[in-house]
Amino acid sequence: MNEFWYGMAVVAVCASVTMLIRALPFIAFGSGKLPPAVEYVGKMLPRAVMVTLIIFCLRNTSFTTGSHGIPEIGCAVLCAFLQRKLKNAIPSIAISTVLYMVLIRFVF
Amino acid sequence: MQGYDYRKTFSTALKQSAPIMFAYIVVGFTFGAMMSEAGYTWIHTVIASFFTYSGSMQIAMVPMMVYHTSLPAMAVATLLINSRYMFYGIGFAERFKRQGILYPYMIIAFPDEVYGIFCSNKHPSDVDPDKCDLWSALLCHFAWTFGGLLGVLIGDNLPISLEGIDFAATAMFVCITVNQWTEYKNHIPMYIGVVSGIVCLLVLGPDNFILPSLIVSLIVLLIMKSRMTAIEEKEAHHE
Repeated sequence: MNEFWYGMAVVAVCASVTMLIRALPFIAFGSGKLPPAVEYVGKMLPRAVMVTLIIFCLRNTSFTTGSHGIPEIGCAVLCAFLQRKLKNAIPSIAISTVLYMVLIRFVF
Repeated sequence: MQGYDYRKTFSTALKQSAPIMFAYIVVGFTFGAMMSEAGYTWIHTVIASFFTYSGSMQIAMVPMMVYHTSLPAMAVATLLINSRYMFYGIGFAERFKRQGILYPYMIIAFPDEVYGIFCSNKHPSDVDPDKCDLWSALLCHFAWTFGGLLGVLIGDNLPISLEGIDFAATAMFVCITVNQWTEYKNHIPMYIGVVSGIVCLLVLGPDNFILPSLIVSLIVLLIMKSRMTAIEEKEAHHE
C-alpha cells in the first residue's frame, strides 16, 4: 500500500470511528420519550463536564517545572473574573488569551 | 408563530462562535502543517478535518501515521481518545431533530467547543434558536476545515507564531462555567466535575483521564439522583 492510500485509509478509519461514537447517544436515545434517568443526566452532565473540560485543556500544564502553570492558572482566573464582571464572553476570552500569549513569550 | 430576525440570528451565532473560530483556524492550521510535514496532501487534510473534526485525535494521528501504525490500532486509538463524545449527545436529540434533513450533520459536527456553545446559549426572543445552532455549527466547522487547508498549503511559511492561541478554548470553557455558576444555585454537579477531573488526572495521567473522569461524574450524578432532583425542585420553587 503506498503512502497516499495508507493515509486515505487512516483518515477514513479515524473519521468513521469518531462519527460512530458521536452517533451512539442519538441511536440509543434518539427515538421516543427519554427515560427519566437519561433526561436527568442530559440536564446535569453539562454542568459537570464544562469544569472537567477546563482541566482537559490544561492537562499538559506542568506545575513543578518551567513556569509552574502560572500563565495558565493566572489567565484562567482573570478570564473568570472578567466574565463575572462584564458578562460578555468575547472580551473575557480575547483579553485572557492575548495576555496568555504575551506571558508565554516575554515573561515566562 | 413568532417572527424571527434573521440578521440578528446570524450575528448572534457569529458572536458566540467567533472566539472558537479564531482558535480553530490556528489549531486546524497546525494540524495541516503537521500533515504536510509528514508528507500527506491537502485531500487527506481536508477529509480528516471535515469528517473527524476532533482536535485531539487529529493532532495525535499524525505521528502515528508517520510510524505507519496499523489500521486496527488507529481505530482503537480513536475510540480511546474520542470516547468522551458519547456523552455529549445525551439530551440533544430533540433539539438536533428540529434541523430536519441536517439532523445527521449536527451529530457529526459536534466537538468539545461546539458542545460548549450549545450548552451555554440563551438567546433573545427574536433569535431563531435552531438557525442559530445551525449557523454556529457551520461557522466553527468551516473555520476548522479551512484552517487545516491553509496549514497544509502554506505550512511553515507563516511569518508570526500564534502559539498559545488555543488558550481561547480554555477561556471559553471558563466563561461557560462562570455563567453556569451564576445561573444555577445548585453547584454540586460542578464540584463533581472538578473532583472527578482532578483525581482522575492525578491517578491516570494526562493521556487517559478524560473518559474515566466523565464516567465517574456520570455514576456519582446517578447515585445522587433523588437528592439532586429534590434540590432542583426546591430551587425552582424559590424563583
